Formats: sequence, C-alpha cells, structure tokens
Amino acid sequence: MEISVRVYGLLLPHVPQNPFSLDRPEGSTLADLINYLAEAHGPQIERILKPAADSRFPLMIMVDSKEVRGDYDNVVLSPGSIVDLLSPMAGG
Amino acid sequence: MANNLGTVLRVDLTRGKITRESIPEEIKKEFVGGRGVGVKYFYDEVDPGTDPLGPENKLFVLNGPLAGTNAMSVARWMVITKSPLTDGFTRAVGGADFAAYLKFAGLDMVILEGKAKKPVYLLLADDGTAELKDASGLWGKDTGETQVLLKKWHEDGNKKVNSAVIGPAGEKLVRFAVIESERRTASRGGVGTVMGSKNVKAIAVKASRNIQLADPDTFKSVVKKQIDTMQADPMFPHFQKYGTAMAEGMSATGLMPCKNFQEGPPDNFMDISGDAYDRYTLRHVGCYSCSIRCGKVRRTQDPRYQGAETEGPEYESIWVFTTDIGSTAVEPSLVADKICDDLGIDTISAGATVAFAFELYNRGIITKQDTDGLELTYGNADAMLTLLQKIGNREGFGDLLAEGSYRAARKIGRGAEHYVMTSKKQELAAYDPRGAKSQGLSMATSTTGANHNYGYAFQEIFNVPIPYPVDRFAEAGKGNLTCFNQNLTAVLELGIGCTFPGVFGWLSMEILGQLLAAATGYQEFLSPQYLLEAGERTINLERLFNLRAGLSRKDDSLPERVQKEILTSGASQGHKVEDMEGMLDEYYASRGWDKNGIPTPETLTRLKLAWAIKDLKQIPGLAA
Repeated sequence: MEISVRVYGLLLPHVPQNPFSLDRPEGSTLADLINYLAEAHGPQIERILKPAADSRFPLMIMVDSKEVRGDYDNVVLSPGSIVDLLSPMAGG
Repeated sequence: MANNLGTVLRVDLTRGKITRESIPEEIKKEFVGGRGVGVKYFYDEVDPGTDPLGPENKLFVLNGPLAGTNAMSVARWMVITKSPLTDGFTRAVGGADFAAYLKFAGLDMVILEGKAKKPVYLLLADDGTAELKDASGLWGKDTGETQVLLKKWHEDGNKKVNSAVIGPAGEKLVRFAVIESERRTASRGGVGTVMGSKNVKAIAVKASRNIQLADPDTFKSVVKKQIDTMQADPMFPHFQKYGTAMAEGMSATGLMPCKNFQEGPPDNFMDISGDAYDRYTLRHVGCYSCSIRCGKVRRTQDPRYQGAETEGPEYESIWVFTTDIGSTAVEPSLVADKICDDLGIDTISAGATVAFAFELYNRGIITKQDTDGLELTYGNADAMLTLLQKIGNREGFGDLLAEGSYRAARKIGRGAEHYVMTSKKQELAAYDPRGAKSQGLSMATSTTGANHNYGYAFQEIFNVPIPYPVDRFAEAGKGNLTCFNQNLTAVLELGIGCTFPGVFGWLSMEILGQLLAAATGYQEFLSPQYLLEAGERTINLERLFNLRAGLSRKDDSLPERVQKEILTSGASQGHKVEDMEGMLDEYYASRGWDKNGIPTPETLTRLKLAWAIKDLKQIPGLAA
C-alpha cells in the first residue's frame, strides 16, 4: 500500500523531498514505519525518530491529522494514510 | 565591579531635568534585575488610576545584568508602563543591540516621566552625558529613517550610535505602537504609544564596549559551557536556519488559527512553510553577542512589491498576514511586515485587528462604505496592505482600527463585539486555545493581556515532557502547569533572556543563575529556588497593580468564540475551552490567590511582599 509522509523541523535535511510516498506492506503499523525510516536514513535520523522518553525534543506524530500518543505498535496504517512527523521548534 | 551597575537615569520631560540615582542594594538582590527591578519601580511610582497617555504615566526602559556581555541569548531590553491598550500593566521585550548600548552608557534603566512641550530625543553617551535634543527634524520620519539620521548626526570614530525609536504610529497614538531598535521591536501593549504621548521620538546611545564583571574568569567558563551546550544540540543549526518561521508545524497540529479563529489551518499550509520563506532570505541577523542569529532579512521578488526588504516575519506575523486573513501568499506578508516595522505598529495586534475587520466584512456587518472602498474578501492580501498603512497613519477606516479590535467593535456595534479575539483588550497570538489549554490559560491570566510569551506552554506546543508530559487538550492540571511556565518566563526575564533558548536548555535555570552570579557577585542567584521566588514576586506585584487599576477575575478570560464554538477543522478539531472558570480556580489556588484572584496576605508575606499588604485596600470593592 502507498502512504504519504511529511516531515518537519529537524527531519527536513534528511529526506530527499517533502512530502514523499512510500510503498509499505498491508497491515504495517506506525512502529513499523518508524523502524523502516530509521534504518533507511541512518543514525542521524534515528535519534530524532526514536528519542529517549525524557528527551527535551520528542517527536510529535499525526496520522491523518490526528495526533498519536503512546503505543505506536497499535496504530495500523491504511492505504493513502498521511503521516506527519514533527520535531519541535516549528513556530514560535 | 559588577554588571548590574545599579544606575538609573531619570528624565523629567516636563521640566527638562535629568538626574542619576542608584538602585538600592535590597532591590538589586530581591528583584535580581531586568523585569524584576523594572516592575518594582513601576509599582512604586505609577498610580494604578493614571491615564496611560497622560503625563503621570511613566516609561521604564531597561536592560538586564547580563546585557553587553558575551553570553548567548541575554541581550534583550524591556519597556514597562501602563498600557493604553489594556489599561493595565504591560511589558514589551526587544532585541538587537540596544540593551548592550544602554549598559555601555553605564545604565540599567531610563525612566521617562512627564511630557515634553515639543518633540525631543534623548541622547546618551558613555562619557556620562545625557541631554534632551530637539526632534523636529525626526518627527514624522519612519523608524528606519529615524535611526539612520541619528547615526549620521552623532556617530564618530569608534563610537557607534544605537537607538530605540518610535515611528509615525507612535506619534499619532495608535494604541499598539511599538518601540523599535534596528528591526527588532518592543512590540506589545502600546509602549510606543506612551513614548509618543510624551513627545519623545527616540533614545539614542553613543558608546563603545565597556563591561564590568564581578568574576570574569567564572563568567568566561560558564559562557563556554553554554556555547558547548548549544553547539552539541541538533536544534541549534535548525533554529539558525529558520528562526521561528516554521508555520507548518503549528499548522499540522491544528494550533495555527485561520480567518480570525473561525477555522483550523488550511490544507495548503506548506505554502507558508519555513522553506517557503527561506527562499527569500538574504542574510541572518541576531541580538548582541548571540550566535543563533534567528532574525532573517528577506526581500520580495515580485516586481509589484519593488524589492521590499524586511527582517522577518516571525511565526506570529506570518500567521496574521496569511492564514488569519485567509491567504497563503508569502510575498505580501513580507511587505506587511515592512509596513508595520516602518510605521512602528505591533504586527500581532495590527494584523489581528485587520483579520477581525475581514470577518466583519464577510459577515456583512461592515461594507465598502465603512472600509474606504476596500474589499476585505478573504485572501485579498493587497487590501490588508492598504489597511495596515491606514492604521499606522490613522487615516480613514484605519483611524478606527488604530484603537484595536476591542474598542473598534464597540464603536461599530451591530454585534461586532462577538468577533473580537482579545483578552484584556489585547489581541490573541497565533495559538488556538482550543488545542493548547495551558497556552490559552496563560494568555487569559497574563498580567499584560493576551501574550504568547508570558508563559509559553512548550509541553503542549512542542510535546516536551518537562517537568512532565501533558495532554494538550486536557484542562485539569493546567493551573499548576501555567504557573510553572509563567514563573519560568519571569526568571528568564530577570536576565533578560530569550524564551526559546530557555526552552531548549541553552539558557537553563542553572546556566542563567551561574551567569547572573558571576556578573553581579550575588551568590544567591546560583539558587534556582531563589530565582523562581524572585520571578513569582515580580508576577504578584504586576497582579496587584492590575487589581488596583480595576481589573478583576472577569478580565482573566478568553474570547467567547473559543469557549462556545467547537473547532471544526484541522488537527485540533472537536475541541473548545470547556471550563474556563474551573481552570481559573485551579490557577488561582496554585498561585496562592483567593477565588477572586487576589493574592492573600500569606502569599505576599511568603514572597517578602508584606509591605504591599496595605495596598490590598486599594482594590475596588475591597476598601475597608
């Protein structure tokens, strides 16, 4: 299935274009997507995508304009889903 | 020697008399500096019942104990006065180099009192001279021209001139006029209006660097630690590149309002992203000694706008000049920013008042007959530009809007007051309270009227879990959180530090305390608890002033719209402010105030403000 990813803030320099599309297996979860992106784009992006729980700059994630908090394993993506990945400092 | 020099310059404009005096030792210790010391003087010297635009009001222009040093993000200056917009206390904060120059001239604060018979400017120098000079050659000039002329007239050799000035809007008493230095402004609450009411066009300082530190070696090592902390942080280059111009994040979370808070952000919000603005950036500029350089000088490319150049716009200004009027056009927002800076008006209040007028027009409450023929249809950015010019010059329909949206609505009538988006008569900033309840509560309880930087709720806005993670839509628990954020901001402004470096940890309470102690020699400042208490003391004095000026619990509120209308689009949709009174009850309890929002004698005693208990009798309705 095809999903659309938009990134903001610190993630911007690490993607070739924004937004971008990805072909992922049916039934993929949000956790699967984050793992995939972290592996595909290397350690610099991994520390932004997988911040420590007490990080001053945790990631904020929206799926189809709804904020997702907590267990990403339980968020199953759908064909055509739009995933927004926001690092802090996006306005002030 | 210490960098809190303890010197105040008092300028009696009515008599043309200038004197110097020392700040008492106990005030320097108990109020630390910056906002703390300024608020103490303001509280002691300004009668709460005074007319903000009368000669009895005073203007306190000050820096902090760290101004002019090579520490990062501490070069802010502040103006404190009674606001002609809110009719209560206000403080406005500016950047660039002016704070440092005031320090080089040997001053912590300038107090302007009375009223000059004709336009004047104050010329200060680092040789100790201070004189009032005829400003007839400056009156009517815009803020840029004024600063250029002051440099031309007074700069020589290695003595540079830096100034803080008003534009035509301040002269014409637009209620939200600013004081501008270079292209940075002390912008909110009409501080430039008060300066204009006193017939003062500018404060110019001719000086070269001269700094005295109590413990230079320790100071140097703390600055090194601060720089190392900043440079190791992945946010640092990011903030350098974009500054605050990243409206996409606030749009994705549904926090950026659209069309005067009627809707969430538009679908095409990437049109106003950080990268969209970055295409117009010519160079990066910053405050004295700060290596972030978050200011962006940008130039238009469309020939229609004749290469208009501006420093900005920042996130708030991007909002009012784009989505708030139903537009996503970047170039007109650059022009709008320049118009406001040149004329000397607050971009937030001016832009939000224009957006309010757009809504009235689209609802048919006003027509072209009211707007001097302007069609205020959503997205008509050129009409916005014309209207901003009219406001800054108080021309035609602009003369009415120059009063701010609250007062304009009452003159317009016909139900216009239902569409006013203010708290304490000051326009809200670019965070919809329906999606960030503590940010909303802070704007409601701010002593300065709606202000996004009075207690920035970074836990809600950036999802930062300090001191703990929060649900941004929840209302329970937000009283405590709001007090925490407001106290934190007050501490930074004792410094006078900048909000975002504070949030990022580049100017943590620990670093700030170490810098303050090394600069001043007061070891008490090393204690975060000591600083937090000084910040809280400052907020309580601001509150007491407002209560004595007639403000009360009913003024700690948010606009009708965010309490009654559920947001129907964007990522904060489905929410409204459910229980404003409940949040207020919790906030007051956290502050140690009674159910009417009045500090209790016990709270004042705890904060070493027992001397102010007698003033409680001056609160309307509480007179003994």
